[in-house]
Amino acid sequence: MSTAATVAETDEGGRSARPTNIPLLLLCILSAVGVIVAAVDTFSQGNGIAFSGGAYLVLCSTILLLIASLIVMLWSSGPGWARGILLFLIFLDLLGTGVAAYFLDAYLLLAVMALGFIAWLIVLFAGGSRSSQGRVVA
Amino acid sequence: MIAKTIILATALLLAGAVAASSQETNTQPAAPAANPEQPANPASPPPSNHAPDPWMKPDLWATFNGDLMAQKYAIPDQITPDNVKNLTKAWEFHTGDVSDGSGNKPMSVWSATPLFVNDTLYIGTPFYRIIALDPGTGKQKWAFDPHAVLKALTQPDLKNRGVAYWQADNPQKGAACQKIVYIGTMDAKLYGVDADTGKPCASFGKNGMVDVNQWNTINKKWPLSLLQPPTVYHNTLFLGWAGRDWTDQADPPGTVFALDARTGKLKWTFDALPKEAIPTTGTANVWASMSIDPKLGLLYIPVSSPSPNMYGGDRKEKLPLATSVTALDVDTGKVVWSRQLVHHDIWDLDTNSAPTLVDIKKDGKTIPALVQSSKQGFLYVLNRKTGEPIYPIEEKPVPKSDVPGEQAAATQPYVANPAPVTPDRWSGVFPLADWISLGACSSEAAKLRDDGRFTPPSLKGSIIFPATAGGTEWGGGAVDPTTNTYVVNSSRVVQIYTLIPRKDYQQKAQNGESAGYYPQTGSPYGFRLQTFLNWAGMPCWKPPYGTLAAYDLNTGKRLWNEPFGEVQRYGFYMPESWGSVTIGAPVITKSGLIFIGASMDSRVRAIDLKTGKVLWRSLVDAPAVAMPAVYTYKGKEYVVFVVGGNSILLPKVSDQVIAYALPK
Repeated sequence: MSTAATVAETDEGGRSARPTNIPLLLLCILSAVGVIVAAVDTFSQGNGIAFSGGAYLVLCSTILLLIASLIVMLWSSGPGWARGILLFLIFLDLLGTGVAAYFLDAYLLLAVMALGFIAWLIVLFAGGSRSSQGRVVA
Repeated sequence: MIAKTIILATALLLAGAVAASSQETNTQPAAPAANPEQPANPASPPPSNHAPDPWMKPDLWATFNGDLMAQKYAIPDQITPDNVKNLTKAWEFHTGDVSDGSGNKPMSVWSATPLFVNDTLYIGTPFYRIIALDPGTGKQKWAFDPHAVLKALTQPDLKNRGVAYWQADNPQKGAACQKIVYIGTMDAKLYGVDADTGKPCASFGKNGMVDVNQWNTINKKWPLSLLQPPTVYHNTLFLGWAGRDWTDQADPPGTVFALDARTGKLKWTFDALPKEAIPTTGTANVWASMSIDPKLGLLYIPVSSPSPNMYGGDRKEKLPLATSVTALDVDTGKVVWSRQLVHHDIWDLDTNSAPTLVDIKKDGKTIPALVQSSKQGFLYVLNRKTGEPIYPIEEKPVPKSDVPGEQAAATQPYVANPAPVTPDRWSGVFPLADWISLGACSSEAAKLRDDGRFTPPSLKGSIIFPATAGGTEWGGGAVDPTTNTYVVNSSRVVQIYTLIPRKDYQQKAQNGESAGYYPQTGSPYGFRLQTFLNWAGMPCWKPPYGTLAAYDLNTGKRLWNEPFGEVQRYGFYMPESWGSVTIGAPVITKSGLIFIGASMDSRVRAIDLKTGKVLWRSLVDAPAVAMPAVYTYKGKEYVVFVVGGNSILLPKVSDQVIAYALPK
């Protein structure tokens, strides 16, 4: 595995295809983990928050987070303003889900959101800029 | 938690919480002599040839309050403040008797204290079954099902506070029903079954059942619901009942029945209302538990308010035994003394828990005392032989009623020491709730009548604090008799009482248990009860919403007073500093621990008696609104919680019985 921030995948024709941004990939993975944790919180009877409005809320918000992260990762050709808006929405989602998790005493979900926030910062300031996405690492 | 508070204040999390009240009923009939408002020390205590029942040993948990003196004090000391952090689940049992109200049964509200006696754990369920469990494993020994009517005949929910136990002083081996377990039903039937087999006792009533409704003959509008298990002493069952609040002016009067424990035959009755008052009033019943001084032979009963609960214009005569704590001779039912705690009660401030009996040391003397907690937040400490206050009770002028026809009492009894569990005035509008409601909380408060404690209900609406939600609810407090430390949980709920002239009262049906419209049929006014919430269901008043406090009864001094529990709404837990409305009661152990559920957040806790700090907590399936049982079985100490929920706190129910113990 490359240690570089971004890896370009090459299709059979040798043409550079979707570049894979590792911070974005990490954000997607953490979002997926967030969905799983939120689902467990929502449907595990006896945890104090199962089937509550707050649990359903964080389940929805983590699903939205995953969708937004995937779009940013996969839609590299999209306009910059759309990417900026999506990244801003991802930030709000991470923040809101984290706060909700705190008030739900769902500390594992809170931890996942905190890690997601770190990944988001890396995407924003290190590996996630459009200029870096095109970088091809051998 | 400060962090939560800060986040809340800045981030605008909708929260919400809480509601209201509790209380179940009222009633009563003709009373003995009785002088005016003030009580009531008519007779000296009866000659003391009484003694505790020999089978009721202090290491049992044989009654609703643990023991007859309602001390809720457990002598096992295996679990200590040092090792309580290691407490783990020993076993769990589910009764199957639970309803969330979505089907054809009303919601269940389960507040049963488990009884540990006869080497068995006995529980009553909200479907009025009795289940006997092995105290060490939770395995079922037997179950008795009376196939009770599961309808909301008086209460909006299916309620049960457990079972009662009796045994003969010298049980005959092999003979049936030498030990009996009793359970009452919503439709006023009292069942007695053999404690070893669960089979009905043929000698008790008719084939094991006494229909208490046979004595429901005055202002009969609904059955005398037997939700609170009887108090048992000297082969006698002392039985109160619950009815339906706020619906009628003239309700069944609140008779207390004394029944023979073996046969169910009536021994005597007690009525708190004079016969001449019955046409226009009723209730002043005893719906909560009672306590007994087994040496004095006195039964202490918490008497509730008369009907109609919020308007007294048609019952202006003196009703000195209503809203009182009253001592009766256990053998005759005659009043030994009585002390009225609220005069001309128009707030539904039922005396709602068994007084706790304890000998306190004051000025070098040992005084037989009782502590009566109350919805109004006062702790009345009285000499239990005479009813005289040990700490002063002062009559203070209170606001007048401005409702045509009503005449509020000129004064009410106040207690300054011990400090009330709730402050004298409500805490004021909560800025966060006001902001969320765009100022609706403060504008609503400005429109309402608010003259402090005992502000009468009014036509424009009155802020009532403390109101019918309490203060302290039916669980009452617990005491460590070795140090005379008294612990009590309480709620701070602001409610709005509005009287509606009959011609303007359009609502057809009674609403929920803690809020809605209530007809008070027969009186000139219907009634609206509201908890002061904003549109999001968030309390309009500043937290805390509930506390747990400890007092030194020898001085009356409050030792500590901490917000207790957490409000939970939509799954979100609010800051600990807000506390929670509480229903339930604490238990104190000899080792210096307090065990309590009671809060909205579906947690049970162990608390350091000295400091009030939480040492251990565990998540359960719903709010544990019953008081726990603590006992030692086969050398191991168990703490057992019944987890049933209460619709007043949350629409969350369960059928869980869970036992905790230290690991091997």
